[in-house]
Amino acid sequence: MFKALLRTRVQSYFNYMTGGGRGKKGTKKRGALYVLLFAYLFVMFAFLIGFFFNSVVGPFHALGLDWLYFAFYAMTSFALMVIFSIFMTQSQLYDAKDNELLLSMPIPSGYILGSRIAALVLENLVYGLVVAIPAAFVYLRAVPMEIGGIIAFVLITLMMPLFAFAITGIFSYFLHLVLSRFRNKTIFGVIFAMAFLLAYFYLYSRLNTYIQLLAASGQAVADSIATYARPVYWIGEAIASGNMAYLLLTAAMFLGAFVVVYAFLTATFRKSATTKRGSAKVVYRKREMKVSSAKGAIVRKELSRLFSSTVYLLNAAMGLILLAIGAVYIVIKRADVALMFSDVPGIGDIMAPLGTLLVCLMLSMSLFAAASISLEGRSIGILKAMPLTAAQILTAKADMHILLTVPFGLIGSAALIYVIDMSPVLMALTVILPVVFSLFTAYLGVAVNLRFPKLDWSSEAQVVKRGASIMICMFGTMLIVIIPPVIYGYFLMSSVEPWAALAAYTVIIAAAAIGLRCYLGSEKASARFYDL
Amino acid sequence: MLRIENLTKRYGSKAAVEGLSLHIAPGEIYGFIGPNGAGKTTTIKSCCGILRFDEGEIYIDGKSIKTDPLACKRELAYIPDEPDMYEFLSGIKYLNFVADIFGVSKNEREERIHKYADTFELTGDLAQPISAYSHGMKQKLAVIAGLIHSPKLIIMDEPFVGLDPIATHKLRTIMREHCDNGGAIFFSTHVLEVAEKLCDSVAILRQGRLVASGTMEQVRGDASLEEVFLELEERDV
Repeated sequence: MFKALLRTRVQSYFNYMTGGGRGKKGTKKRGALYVLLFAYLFVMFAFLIGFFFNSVVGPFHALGLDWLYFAFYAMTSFALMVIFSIFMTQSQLYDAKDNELLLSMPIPSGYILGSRIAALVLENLVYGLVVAIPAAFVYLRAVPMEIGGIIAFVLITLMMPLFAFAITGIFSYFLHLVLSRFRNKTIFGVIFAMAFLLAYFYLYSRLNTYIQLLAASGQAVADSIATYARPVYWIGEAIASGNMAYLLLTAAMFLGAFVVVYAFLTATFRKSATTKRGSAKVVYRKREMKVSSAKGAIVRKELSRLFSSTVYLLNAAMGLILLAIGAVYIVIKRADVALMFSDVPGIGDIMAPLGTLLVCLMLSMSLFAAASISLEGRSIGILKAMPLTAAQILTAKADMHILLTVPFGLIGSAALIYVIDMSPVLMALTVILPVVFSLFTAYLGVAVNLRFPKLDWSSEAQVVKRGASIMICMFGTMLIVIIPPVIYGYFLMSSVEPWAALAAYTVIIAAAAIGLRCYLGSEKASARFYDL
Repeated sequence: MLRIENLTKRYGSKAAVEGLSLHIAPGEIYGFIGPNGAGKTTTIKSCCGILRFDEGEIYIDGKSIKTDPLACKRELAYIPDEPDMYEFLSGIKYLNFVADIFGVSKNEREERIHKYADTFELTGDLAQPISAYSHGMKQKLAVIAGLIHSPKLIIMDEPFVGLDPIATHKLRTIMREHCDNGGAIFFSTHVLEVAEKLCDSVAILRQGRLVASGTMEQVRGDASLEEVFLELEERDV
């Protein structure tokens, strides 16, 4: 029985990777594309993390604080697992649409929960490996390890996802408990997540300072951890010296926490997943109704969907949040930024295009349109039956994206113009490119989602976080932003002015946006939409 | 009002509906019955312009759903078997959304929404999110949404599923009134007693093919609709 449930979960994951489901077999090509995207993300993160470990391995080893190196490995790994899965866990455990169906079957709650947890633990393991591989690689390059230490490292890496789940699982239970008491769950969820993210970004912005502090005063930090965070010391020491007693203590802590949380969630699952609590009924009072155009009605409907879903809003708006934070930051730190470049005449000529591309990079992480067709789910027939053309429906989804991203893009442009001294031509391009790029990502998102839709999801998180169109759009547009400056830097810098290169790039993106817009209005796109 | 000519719809190599022809006249309630998987929903979705079909033609009030789908859709209302609506909207927002799409004026929408919501005793719940509705409430909302733009043709897939007896009775009355005022209704059902009492004409579909059609009297003769249906099934078996 458990195997069957697990197989369903794995099949569901596989379908999202390959675009299978709804009677279509996933293709190897799509699967390979998905694997490539994940490999890209994996390598990118592994490099960043490897850089951190590389800067501390030497000083720690010299001080005889190898255990501290592995303690930091464990903390980084744990943090990554928690950050990436904390909101997903609540959605996967309690908001899945098939919860009631499965609970009506003769299946123990523990099996239903267990199959969902297994998938989450597996995801945690992948996040853990993003840290474990560079940490092990960096350490082994610098210091030889004993076999006992290697075994402890492997076992702790394998057990860590269980412990991370124990924390996110209990957190998700309380989050669900709190959210179920609120009428407007989305706003509460977003405020909560924003607080979490701001704390995360604050810590991230201080990372460099912390690394320097660690490298300089490793002994003092080590003493604090060994005294006040004893379990972290056990983990570090178990790996660094292959200490069996500490390994057993770590295993007992990890497995014990998991078992207790699993038992608690199982005991409360039926009630938590099915009880409707909270908000008092709002009684309708007859009043004047507002009339709007059909197009306006669809865009408003799209916005209502966005603001009704915490997971959609947070994932899709991540780039905009970063963009707003970045814009405010550079405006506040204007004097420092100006000082940084004061010695280099004409630096604005290169910084302005790079800054504008950075704004585009943030916009590429804003994925409102890329999930908008998938999110229609089983209700897609409503739109198909209405007197609307496919072009009206598809462009309304893009319009929603444009409506949200263009103002943020312009805020980014304004901040750049305020901070960087640039020519009028560059000033114009700094304004135009983010607008054009917003249009491009909007039309691309809808077009890609039309090609890779998932309408048979059981939780919004499945399409918003792991949908093929989301992955393709995010990494595809990131590459579109990152690769041109690299090519320019290597091959064109000596012969082409930065403003000319930026102008050419703007024209290319505008042409692509026009091409995509034409496609969305075409018979081909219409046929594709009605075939969904 | 609705003319289906030689409709064929295939999924891969399998024909879900093959060579189906029907004519539903103004003022007529037309029942569409058949076992599960007979092709009823496929036919209905083709008539509403949701599904593209391979062969044949469908005309709504003389206009082709193939060449002039928007004009056809403005004349019809589709009430699906599963009321999968936008659960993130409240009932009233959903109805307003539908009214906006169909371009219903402010006064007309207010009058119709309140009239039908009162009829189905849903007025007090219109401010609630659809996600809080029961299946029956969603079904009522889908019916009201279908009636907002005063369509000429109403196409319904299993409209009585989930409705309580009072709502069922009210819907039947609305259906009759709609047809008495010159409209037409084409609906599928498994409830043969309802079809027998309510329909002027009926078509029986099996494995995508029409096995009987005509006025209720022509199809059932002296027997009941259930007996005719079972006899046709047994004959094919």
